Amino acid sequence: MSRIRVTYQQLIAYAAGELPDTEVAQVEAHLARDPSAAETVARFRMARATIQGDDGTDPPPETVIRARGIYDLQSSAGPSPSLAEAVVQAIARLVFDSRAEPALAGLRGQATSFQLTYELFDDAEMELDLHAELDDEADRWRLVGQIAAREPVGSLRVELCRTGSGSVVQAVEGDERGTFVLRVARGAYDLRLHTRTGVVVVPDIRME
Amino acid sequence: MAVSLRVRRVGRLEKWPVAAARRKVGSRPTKVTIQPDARLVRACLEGNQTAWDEMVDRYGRLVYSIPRRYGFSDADADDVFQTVFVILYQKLGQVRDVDRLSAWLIRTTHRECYRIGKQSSRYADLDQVIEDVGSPADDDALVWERRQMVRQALRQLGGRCEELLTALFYAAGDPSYEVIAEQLGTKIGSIGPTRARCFRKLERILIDMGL
Repeated sequence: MSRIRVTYQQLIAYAAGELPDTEVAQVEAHLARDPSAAETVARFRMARATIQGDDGTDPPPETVIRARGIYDLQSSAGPSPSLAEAVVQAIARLVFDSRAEPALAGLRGQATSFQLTYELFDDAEMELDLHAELDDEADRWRLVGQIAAREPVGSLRVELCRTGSGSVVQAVEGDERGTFVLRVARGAYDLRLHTRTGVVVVPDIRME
Repeated sequence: MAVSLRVRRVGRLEKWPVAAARRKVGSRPTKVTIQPDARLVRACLEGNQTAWDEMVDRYGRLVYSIPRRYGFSDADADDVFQTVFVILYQKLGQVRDVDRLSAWLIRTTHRECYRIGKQSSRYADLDQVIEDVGSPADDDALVWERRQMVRQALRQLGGRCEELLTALFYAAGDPSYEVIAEQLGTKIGSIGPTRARCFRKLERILIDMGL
């Protein structure tokens, strides 16, 4: 008895559950003889089930844009794209914390805004003022920084890292006045400032 | 031999992929040349911004979906997303198996979810959601990687075939061929043969990917 040829189209119809009953037995007999045909059926069903079951989420466009910008920010640092290779030249020194001032700390239990001032590079000719304010609704801190210096600040790149981790969670460019803004989740962070003078780290900024 | 199909007309097409929904009627996805991951990584290391953009586009959904699956808010998922891509940038030259970049991204995203989630009081049950800090559950990782590969294969297919197969695969329940034919501007009777022709091409891509 000669075997009736089964077409690829029949295989796919069978895989999709749309083959007429009169043809099913013929296709199933073919599948039992031909492992590659059986793989085709399995592959079709796998692809369909994979797409049907896809409950993933596309990132918002602005999230994508920021991630694309990582490349531009990192590569503009110089010949080496690796953050780990950026030499830290100084650790900023905290000279003022409004939370430590009784008159400024407020009477509420948890500070929802505070100010910090740092000396950069130990020469007191460049300072960083940070103003942090909690946005209760979004449960995020808005951190505004400004560098004050005798000379124009020039290019400024600001990287925010989780304290204790080298991983950058945000990176922004400062404007011509040395000002930058970050919105961050609660936590403890280090700021890494890439300035004309060098790289300085502002450690352990706690925004709880 | 003519193949007759049992054409089911059950309900309307319930669910379209986002990309198809955003396309104007009559436009077709264009066929794109998908670079293998190894070539894409090399291009990034050589200073190609476009290659990096493609990297983010290619894996954005994969990376963003994991924190969302773990119950992270949009803002925290965004944090994880940015962190993972910064890590990827830093370690581009060190990823050992660049042909399985999706597996590397899944593990890295999983770990960053745990690290970032533990720093927040919002995810008190994170230890129940993430049992193994080092890696996601094997089943989850397999599903996520497979989804990434199938979506990528469809994108590589491009054109009319991508549109037809995506519509057929996405259709909730049984696909309505009437609706699909109307959407694609084709005859109902041609859907079956076109589906087979298109899947033959997709199958070659899937086989090349190891699926």
